Amino acid sequence: MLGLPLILAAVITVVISAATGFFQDQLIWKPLRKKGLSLTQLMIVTIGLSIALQYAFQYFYGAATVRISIANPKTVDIGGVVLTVQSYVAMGISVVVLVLAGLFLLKTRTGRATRAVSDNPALAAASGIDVDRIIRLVWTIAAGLAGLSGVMLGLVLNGVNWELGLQILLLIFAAVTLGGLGTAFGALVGSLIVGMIVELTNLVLPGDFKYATALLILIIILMFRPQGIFGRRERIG
Amino acid sequence: MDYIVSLLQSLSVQALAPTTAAFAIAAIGLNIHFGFAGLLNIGQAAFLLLGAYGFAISIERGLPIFLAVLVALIVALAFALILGLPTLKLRGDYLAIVTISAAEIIRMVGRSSILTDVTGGSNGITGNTYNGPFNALSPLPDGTTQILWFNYDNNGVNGWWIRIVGWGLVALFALLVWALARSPWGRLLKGIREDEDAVRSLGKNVYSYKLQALILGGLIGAIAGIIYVLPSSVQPDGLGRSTTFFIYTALLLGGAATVFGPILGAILFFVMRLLVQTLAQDFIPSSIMNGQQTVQFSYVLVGVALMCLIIFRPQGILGNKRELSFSV
Repeated sequence: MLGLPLILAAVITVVISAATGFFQDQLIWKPLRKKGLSLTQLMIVTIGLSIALQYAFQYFYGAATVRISIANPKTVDIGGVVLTVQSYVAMGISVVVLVLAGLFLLKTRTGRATRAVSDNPALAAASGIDVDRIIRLVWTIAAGLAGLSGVMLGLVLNGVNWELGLQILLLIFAAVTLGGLGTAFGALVGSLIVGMIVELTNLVLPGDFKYATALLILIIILMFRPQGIFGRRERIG
Repeated sequence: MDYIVSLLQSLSVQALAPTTAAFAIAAIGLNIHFGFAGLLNIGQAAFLLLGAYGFAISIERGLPIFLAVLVALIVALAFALILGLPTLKLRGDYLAIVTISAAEIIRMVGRSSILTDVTGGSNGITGNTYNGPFNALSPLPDGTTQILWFNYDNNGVNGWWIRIVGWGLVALFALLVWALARSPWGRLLKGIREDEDAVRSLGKNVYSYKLQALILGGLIGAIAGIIYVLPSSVQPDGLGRSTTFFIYTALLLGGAATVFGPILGAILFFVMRLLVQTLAQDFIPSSIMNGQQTVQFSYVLVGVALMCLIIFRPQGILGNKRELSFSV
């Protein structure tokens, strides 16, 4: 809307998103952790925050869909598959980012520290890991990645509205749980499966069932294999 | 002065509306889940929706009203069993994910176009197809009655009869919760909320008690759904995630794990929102905030209020801080 070139706008969006993650942690989550709020309480606070932000977006931008690029999307044909350029670029970026995130968690020192904090914060702190720094880093990266995925989703769907985030949130839950919470490449595999299910449902059932099927699969996974595909049994307590 | 009087009048009308009563009943049900048993059910709206569908569709198909209520209760019971049996053995947050997903599935299936013949699709079911038998039960004579500034039809779609039944049920369920909370059963639930393993070590079947709590709260939720749709219509999108979040806000505002908390919370929730909306409409020039925006502004405040409640006063208005350090 401000007339910036697309790539620059995307980069700025990701940076701003990452910054919101950083400041969210500094201003809200870190003080609350210090205050000793339980996981449930923190979850309800995030729900409150999401209600406030969601309606704030609607307040400022209305309920209509905002389009990112006005031009009709161009399509390309790769190996007989015709898709918009945006979709191909988004897929490429996603694969790169997912592999990088996985490698970060498995191979780097900070990544290993992140997993240690996730397993047991007290023990991680005792072995010299700065737990607050790790959590701040995770918030920043996670918010940045969320911003990136928002940009790509907006481009692929060619439009964003105030409900977009909530629509996709449960699918993200389904994908991560399916892959296995706390596993490096679980999110990648889980997202691929959930994405396929959502789109392939259209072949068998009417379009309004596509999200419902994905959520049904989430429930079935939780019943029979709550740790997900790659998860380990002892993590789910 | 006139302005303040008419404002107070419209606020009190809102406070006693059938929707407020339905919200209070839903919050009482959620209170059994969340306040007493510590179950994080983020799908309470689905129990309301199932109750509403079960009731409305049964009556449309020609069942008598008591059977229709029974159908609504059976549907909610089945839903609670489906949700509870597999997940109550797992960590608490799994129940949260499953309930919110299941609630979305119910809503999406309900609004799906292939079920238009049964559920009315996304248009829902209009009130006049199912509220006839309920109004026929009314012992009140026809006509209108005015008490103070409350002036309604005795029997109409949105009259005294639905208000009496709604608030009567609120009182009934409050009494039930009061009795349950001081019974051995209620104490056991609180024990599970505080320390599951301790209760288990006393030889109690924690899983079964949690399931009972989930079922009871869900049944109360289904009744709330019936009251919610009687004066209006069944709208699947009107009973989605936001409804569940608003019921939580009402419950936490009044005070979880208390008898009157959910009722006070539901009344305050509606009254405060109307107050914010009215004041914003009347005093903020429409160039800064137009009519539509005052509604959204009031919802933004709901979100902020929910955050502040949890952070600064997790026990709500009536709760006991020592008792309520809920954690999963």
